[in-house]
Amino acid sequence: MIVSRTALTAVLCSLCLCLTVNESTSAADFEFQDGDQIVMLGSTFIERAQRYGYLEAELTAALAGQGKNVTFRNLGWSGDTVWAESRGIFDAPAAGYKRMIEQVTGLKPTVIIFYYGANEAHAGQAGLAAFLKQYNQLLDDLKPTKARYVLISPLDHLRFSERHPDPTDYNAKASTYRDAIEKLATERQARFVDLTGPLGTKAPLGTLEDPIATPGEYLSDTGVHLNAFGYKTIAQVIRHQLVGPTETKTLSLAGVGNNQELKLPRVLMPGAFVPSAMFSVKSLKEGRYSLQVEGEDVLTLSEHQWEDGIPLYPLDFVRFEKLRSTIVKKNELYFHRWRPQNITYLFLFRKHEQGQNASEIPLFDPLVDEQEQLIRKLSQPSTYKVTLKPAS
Amino acid sequence: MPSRVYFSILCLVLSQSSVVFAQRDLKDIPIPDPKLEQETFILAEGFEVNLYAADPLLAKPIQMNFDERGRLWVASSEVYPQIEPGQEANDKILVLEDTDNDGVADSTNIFADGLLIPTGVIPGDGGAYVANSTELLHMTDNDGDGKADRTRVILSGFGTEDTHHILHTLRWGPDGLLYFNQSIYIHSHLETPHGVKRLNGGGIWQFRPETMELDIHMRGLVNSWGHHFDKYGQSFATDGAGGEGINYIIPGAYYLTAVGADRIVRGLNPGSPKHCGLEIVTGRHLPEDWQGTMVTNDFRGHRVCRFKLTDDGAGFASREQEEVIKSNHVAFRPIDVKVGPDGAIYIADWYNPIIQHGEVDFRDPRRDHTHGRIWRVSRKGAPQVEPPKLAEASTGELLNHLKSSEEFTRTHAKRLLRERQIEAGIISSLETWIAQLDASHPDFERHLLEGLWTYQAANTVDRGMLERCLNSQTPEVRAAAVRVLGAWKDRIDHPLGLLAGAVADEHPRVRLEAVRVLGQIPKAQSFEIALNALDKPVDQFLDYGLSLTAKELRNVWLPELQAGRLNFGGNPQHLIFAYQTLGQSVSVKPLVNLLNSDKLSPEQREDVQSAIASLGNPQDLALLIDLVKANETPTNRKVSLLNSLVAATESRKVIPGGSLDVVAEWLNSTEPALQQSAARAAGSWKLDSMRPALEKLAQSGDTLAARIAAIDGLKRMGGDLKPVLVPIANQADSPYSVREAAIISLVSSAPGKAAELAVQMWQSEAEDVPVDNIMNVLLQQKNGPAVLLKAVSTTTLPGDNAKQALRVISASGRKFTQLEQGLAKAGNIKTGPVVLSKEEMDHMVSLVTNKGNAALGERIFRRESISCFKCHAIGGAGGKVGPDMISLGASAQVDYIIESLLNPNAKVKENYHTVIVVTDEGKTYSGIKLRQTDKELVLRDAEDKEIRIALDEIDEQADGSSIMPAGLTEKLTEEELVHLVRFLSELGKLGDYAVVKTPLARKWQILMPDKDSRYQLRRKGFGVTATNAPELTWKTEYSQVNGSLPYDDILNYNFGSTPGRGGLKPIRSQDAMVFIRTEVNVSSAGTAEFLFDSPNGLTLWVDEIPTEVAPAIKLDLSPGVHRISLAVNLSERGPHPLKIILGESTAQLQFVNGK
Repeated sequence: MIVSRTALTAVLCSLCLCLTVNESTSAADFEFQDGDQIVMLGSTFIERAQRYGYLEAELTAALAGQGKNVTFRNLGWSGDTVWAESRGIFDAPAAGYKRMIEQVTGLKPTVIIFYYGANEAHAGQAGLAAFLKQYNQLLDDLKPTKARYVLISPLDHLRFSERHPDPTDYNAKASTYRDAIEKLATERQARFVDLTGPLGTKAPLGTLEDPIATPGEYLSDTGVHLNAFGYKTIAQVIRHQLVGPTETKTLSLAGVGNNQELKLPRVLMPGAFVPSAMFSVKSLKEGRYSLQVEGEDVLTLSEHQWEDGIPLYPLDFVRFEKLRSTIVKKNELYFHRWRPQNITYLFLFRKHEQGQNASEIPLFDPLVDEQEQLIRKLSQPSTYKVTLKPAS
Repeated sequence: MPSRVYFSILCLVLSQSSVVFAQRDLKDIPIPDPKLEQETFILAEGFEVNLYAADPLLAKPIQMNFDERGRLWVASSEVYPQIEPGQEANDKILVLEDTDNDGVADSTNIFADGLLIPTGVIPGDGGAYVANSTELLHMTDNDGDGKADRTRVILSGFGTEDTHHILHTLRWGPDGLLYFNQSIYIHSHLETPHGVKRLNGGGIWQFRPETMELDIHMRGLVNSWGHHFDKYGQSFATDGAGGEGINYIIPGAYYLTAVGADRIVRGLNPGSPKHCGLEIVTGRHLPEDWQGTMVTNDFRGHRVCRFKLTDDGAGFASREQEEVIKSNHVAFRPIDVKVGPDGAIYIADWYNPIIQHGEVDFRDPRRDHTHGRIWRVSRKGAPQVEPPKLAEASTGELLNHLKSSEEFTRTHAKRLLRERQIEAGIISSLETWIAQLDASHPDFERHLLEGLWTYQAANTVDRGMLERCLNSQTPEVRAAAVRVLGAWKDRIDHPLGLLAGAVADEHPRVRLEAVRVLGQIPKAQSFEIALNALDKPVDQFLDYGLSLTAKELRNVWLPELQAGRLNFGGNPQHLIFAYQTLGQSVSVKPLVNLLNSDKLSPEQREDVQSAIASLGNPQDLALLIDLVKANETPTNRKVSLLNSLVAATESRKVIPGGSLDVVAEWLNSTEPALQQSAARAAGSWKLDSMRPALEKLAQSGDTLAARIAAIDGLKRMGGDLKPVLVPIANQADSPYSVREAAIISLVSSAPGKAAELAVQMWQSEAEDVPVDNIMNVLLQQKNGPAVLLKAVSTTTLPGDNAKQALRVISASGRKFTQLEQGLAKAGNIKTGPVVLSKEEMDHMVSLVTNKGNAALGERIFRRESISCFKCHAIGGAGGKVGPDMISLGASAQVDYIIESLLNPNAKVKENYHTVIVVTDEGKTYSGIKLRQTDKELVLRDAEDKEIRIALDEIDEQADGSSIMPAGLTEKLTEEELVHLVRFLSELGKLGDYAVVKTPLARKWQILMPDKDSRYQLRRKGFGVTATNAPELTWKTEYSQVNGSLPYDDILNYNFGSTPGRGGLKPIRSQDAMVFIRTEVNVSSAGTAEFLFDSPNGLTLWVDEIPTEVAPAIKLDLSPGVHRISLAVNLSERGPHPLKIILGESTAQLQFVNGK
């Protein structure tokens, strides 16, 4: 495992940051269970989460740390609403809605995470009643799954330059919808996740920059949707609200010595706001010491620095990235499975031409399963053999 | 020896099939050596071509765009058409560079990989925008190693229902905005800060990246892989699946296949083959007469084509020119074209023997996944343009580049200025540059326009500059300025005042632009102003634009009109136009008032009456009954009023109020047309007292038409029809059409009886009666197929009648297995699709290649008995039910043509599958979907008829199969089939069946030499054939692919010994005559030149005016349809082809095409 010095330094800098997250919880007690099959349903926020994988990776790793293994199916569709307005394809949205209900039911979910309201909010107060009525309908229509529901609030729009449209008006509308969704969640004994404001703090998100590693990095590239950094951030907010706050566990080495075992509490997200694990070495003699993993120096610090402790995720950097990229790959394969390109020729009104190729599509299933198994393996907390020795 | 093909093929000798197989592979897959390909190129006079880049430097180029440094960015996909399970999506964006300016790329850099079927790339904003299936990405290289290291998702949610329709054709507009297209099967849902933007079906998007403002520039086109702007910012598009050449894009307008369109704009070159890519070429390297001409690719016909546009009112007319490149290389697939920084024309060659992925298997081994070329076409001996140094230029230098003669330079300069505005601001430099422009420069006004566009690109409103351009001396500049005004309408004060001026402009294009902007300002007043465009001449483009604006603003002006707060200044023309755009039931009180006033001209009065009939309530319609009654109303007007009233009842279930007793009087009229209309009216309005009169007319009317109308009237009236109609249907001595009408009228009330009567009639009739009408009505009826099955199950039918009935079923696109079996059994026939084994197919392919004769095949294609022209056009002339065959052979492989003929359902061209609709009344209709509005669905059936179905009457809708009946080839011998396939496979290839670029007459009418026409000729002379004399019966014929009307087809229509000119001279037998005519549609007045191969034996009338024939004649033509009639003395004519070519013309006109 090789971690560059710069990365580590950056990580060290982040230690001084302290994250406050909204501690509000809804009426429903909610806990993931081992074996949960989680379906995510909603608009671009859900659909695009596949591209970056942080949301699933963070939840998967945190839950695996608690001994719970779960699977995700992402059914997000850009521009979607509670009426399934994006899902009609060649049919009316109502037909797409019906297909969606059948598809979700067929997946036998035990948890459904909903992200609706962001698109509907453009209609403002005037559209609120219709939105709530249909949201209720959707929740009713999925009731036969007996899944537990999680309702996520709409994200605010961001403004990080003069040329971006002023989001004040939209954000005011989104806030109305947020309140209504929270109320709906209470009524339906569903769990509410609040994304209003940056990281759920309700503070203005307008000019928020990356508080951690790269100054000048934003949560979003367009003001509307999150980028990789945005998803990495929001993943922690959602994990915080659904799985619980990070408890920093301090692990220590018994001084200088060979091949000591370090068992991590979970696969660690690099650059997390609150590190899940700290690593410290007490009672070292004055001097500089190098940490070796599998025979390779990864970091050299003074005895004071080792005593103060460092977050452990540099150790796990590759591991987490592997987990995340596997999740991205799994989602891509599943996307080809449920929303294949050329669907017109494969399954719809031109299937008499290329229907013969439709037999290829189920072949994605074993490929998805293969990745699921890999995800399961990669998400288990690791144990590293490390050596601390005086720097040469 | 002739034999029926469907069984003879099964008996083919298979022993040599392995040899055939190998040959076929060799033939279909050329050796991919660029040199061999280049040798096939025929270049435009004075041009040469060189290979700029080829595999392995690049594979499968899809779109290419140059950057400001002259590097060529190429989107390329090896995954297309469909990712395979387990395959890693690793498509690439390549950057080619010609560092030493020798016209040959010397390096390729992989800028990005890991993409999934990227179908577009365009440099900009410090990186490149990339179309990546569902996403529009922006990728940048921040560390300077030439590889993208940061990817931003700009928009996502583009549909991927068909990978040759996904997000494509990225273009920077002259306004600094980014344009991109999607095609027919794509449904996109894009979230922006301004709300979700949805587009179902094809269209062009307009996008400002820095503010995420996203709008729809136009809707429709089947597959618009070409879009470019001329120097005045008018945009044009080509269609890779629609055959209308260059499309002039009116902002916000609807085109072929647009979802929700009730009216569309047609392309400028109907009957063209399909085109891909579009570049309006400019620059000093190219000759003067190429400036501003449009280069696009006939990727099926292996041609790079060029079109020249001229003004035609508010729009344009387009004419094809000599090709840039033509070739017969089956893998030369030019798909994109751009003028490079050196002024040469660059052509992306997708290089593939197989195109398309609907008809051709995704995994067809002949698909090429690895080759690709970029060709560079330059003018021999002409100096290259020195590539401008834009990247390093100062803001002042960039501004000066806006004056460049090269569009390449202007567009990149404007884009870089926009980017600099975002970083640092350029406005003060822009102001200085404008102030220093040379007012004596011939292009000064256009330079000002570039300045105005730069303000727009910089997203900075400048009213002064806008008004300056709105008042320009150059109409094109004023038109462009109006469009900028549209973009700024919410950011300037009183835009309506400026638009009112533009609507009254001298130039129709300025008026059109103004009308379109007004459609975006949702106020009743906007529409009032827009209607002022009617006060100056209105052409087809302006008429379309204004009706679209009327539709867009309907919800604001209609309530005002109905509340009496709006009256369009009392201008009848304006009021009539407004109502004519409605097509929905509304109060027509203002129209009625108008009708009662004395303000109307006779034409306006007719318009008002028609509008009342199509929109009015019972009281309004009663007024029209009064008009039919009035003595002074001419009979033809009475008939058309009555017909429109009946139509109102059928479509809107509105019956005129008041007493309708007068209909009885009309039923007795001696005017046949009035009597027939009255028969239908009596039925539709359920005037039961007239039942006896109708029955009498049905039983013993004087004419066939009267009897049929009365039978139809009875059907409309309903009740027990059997006592009257069954005997009529049973009358063996009655004409077929009367018996048929009686049976059809019985179908809805007594389907079982009707089926029984029909089968009895078909059984007793001689072979080959037209069974279509009865069959279609029975198929529409819910239990129709069942009762028909019952009727045929106990009997036999003449084979040909059964076969025809089977064809009607197959043309319906629906499946009735039992009925089909029953009919086949009754007719003792074996029918249906023929499926060949691989060996049989190989053998057929080899026969076509070695023995097929295209000339014989063309005659078979034209044969009436296999009715190809009934559904298919060639070059626009012929039926529209199936695809135009103009370049079929250049795109389709022989085996696919054979398969399509024998088993039409195997491959169906996009947009040509059937839709099956069941209405709430239990009727079933099927046809090709033409369009769907928010109110109705319009289908085209196998008879080329439009079927309109109100959406709220639709119970069920499903997809059917091909409308092309299986078994059409059964009437052919194997040898004939081989010739037919050979002919089809030659269409569009270089040679005798290449696309003819010159406009020429393709659709003709030929006079039937029957008793009536002989009598008329004898009485009135040849000149009568140039009139609308109703006694004459005409039949449609089409030219051959080469444009001439074949003598052997028309000899059947010669008049032999009819009297000669003037009806006086006794005619000699060698004076055999045929009479033919064709039509032209003139959109802008002027002179038109017509070329005849020889004047020998021809007598000519233009409209009804005798005109001297010469090899070339020039005519002054006014707008509208004009008829060219010819009397042809066959013996005097000699062997000269019958052909009319359009020569040099100042008028804008097209030959009338279609069916």
